[in-house]
Amino acid sequence: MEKYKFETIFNECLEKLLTGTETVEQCLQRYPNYAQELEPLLRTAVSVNKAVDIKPSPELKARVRYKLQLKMAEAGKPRHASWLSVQPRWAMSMIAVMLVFVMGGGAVLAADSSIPGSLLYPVKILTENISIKFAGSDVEKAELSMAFADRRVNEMNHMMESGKFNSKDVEAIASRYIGYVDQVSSLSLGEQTAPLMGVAMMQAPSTAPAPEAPATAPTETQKALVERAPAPEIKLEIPGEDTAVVSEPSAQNYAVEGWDKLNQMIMFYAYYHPKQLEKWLESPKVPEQHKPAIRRMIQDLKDLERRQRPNKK
Amino acid sequence: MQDEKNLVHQAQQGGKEAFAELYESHFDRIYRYVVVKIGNRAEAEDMTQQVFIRAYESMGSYKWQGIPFSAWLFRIAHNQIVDFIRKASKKPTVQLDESLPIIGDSDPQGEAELKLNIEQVVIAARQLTRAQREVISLRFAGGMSISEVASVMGKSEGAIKALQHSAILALRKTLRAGEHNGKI
Repeated sequence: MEKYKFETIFNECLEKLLTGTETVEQCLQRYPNYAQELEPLLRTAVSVNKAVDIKPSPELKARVRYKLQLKMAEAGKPRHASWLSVQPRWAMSMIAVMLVFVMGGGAVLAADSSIPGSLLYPVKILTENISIKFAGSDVEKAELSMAFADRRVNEMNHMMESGKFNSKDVEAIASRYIGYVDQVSSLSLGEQTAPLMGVAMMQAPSTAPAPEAPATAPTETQKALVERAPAPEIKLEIPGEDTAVVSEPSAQNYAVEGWDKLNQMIMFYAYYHPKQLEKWLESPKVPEQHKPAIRRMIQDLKDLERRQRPNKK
Repeated sequence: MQDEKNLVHQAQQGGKEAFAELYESHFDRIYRYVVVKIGNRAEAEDMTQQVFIRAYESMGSYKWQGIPFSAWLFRIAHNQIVDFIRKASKKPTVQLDESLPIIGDSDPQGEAELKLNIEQVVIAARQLTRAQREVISLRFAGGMSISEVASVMGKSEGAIKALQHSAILALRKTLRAGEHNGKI
């Protein structure tokens, strides 16, 4: 009975401690007869409570939010798309179907995961260019360009990890990456207001050429295109003076569209791409001759991020 | 902040903003719970991500019948942890540095709060029974009330209170013993 009574008092005090309505001292004053037995247990509980009060990193929360965005985009887009917004995808599906007939579905799908130097890689690049051409609006073109720039980073990572690369492939990836980033830059410049144009014009534009379609044909499937299409809608909370969006996450982030969405996408990649690429600059496995190309990629994206920054809300 | 029941309903209808709000409300608690349960932050990060993706995919199967949404999320997390432990059954599930610094014992009467870190709590919690450990994880890391813990564990509130008391008592003994032999 006494044990039960003590247990009840302990749980009552603990509840008040955890909800912040009472301190250990206040509880001990209320139960002086039990204070000696109660105090070490309550203090242990408080210590445990403090120890487990860990915070997930902003990067982790941003990453999971991003993954959820992609899931939501996959699930939601087809239902809400208007006829007009569907039209470019419809056109793409026709092209994809035709190319499946010409090339065979397996080859088209395989192209999507091809890497520089492989036979199907030109197919991948061509379909990227076609996708951008058929995109319905400038913002869609910019989103696709950003997504394809992300592919280049993945390819660079893959090559560096495998240790199988040559100067030609590294330069080609860097050049295409810069081309896409610059394409995003020019498309979004057209969207900015006059004062922001002034800010943007002060930045030295990159002279890297926009990516060109190779002479050979084929493409990828509509499915692959649709999978690439959903743009991440993300707001990062990254500590550090030179990092961008620093604000409380809000549900609004999941609903933004258009240029706001593109801005969030740029901010997301402006954090992750340098993070992924910089490790190769420090790696002794990567010959010095390849590092300038990687540095140019990082710099170009940082320039874009800086230009976009005044545009953020 | 909207009523959670409404948010869940909207999320089930495909409301992105509603699910986003649920995510923001519960992410930290789920993450802390997973870290305390498995003791490995890198694994906990991946697992927390999976919990929310699984929740999003399974929103349609959740029914509001007296079980809070948070309890449902914690059940998903619990199931993921069980799977993880099963898969890693032949390896130690907690990869922590066990040679942790000794807690300063400037308070021989044991009246001051112990200065603990998460790793020390995870190691000490290994000495608890499974039910005690679950109560500590849900109550402290998950920030759940007694009634919510009872709902998740399928036990009465009285049983949870008894487990909470015995768990803290056992933790106190383990942590003090650890202090003296220098293990914790």
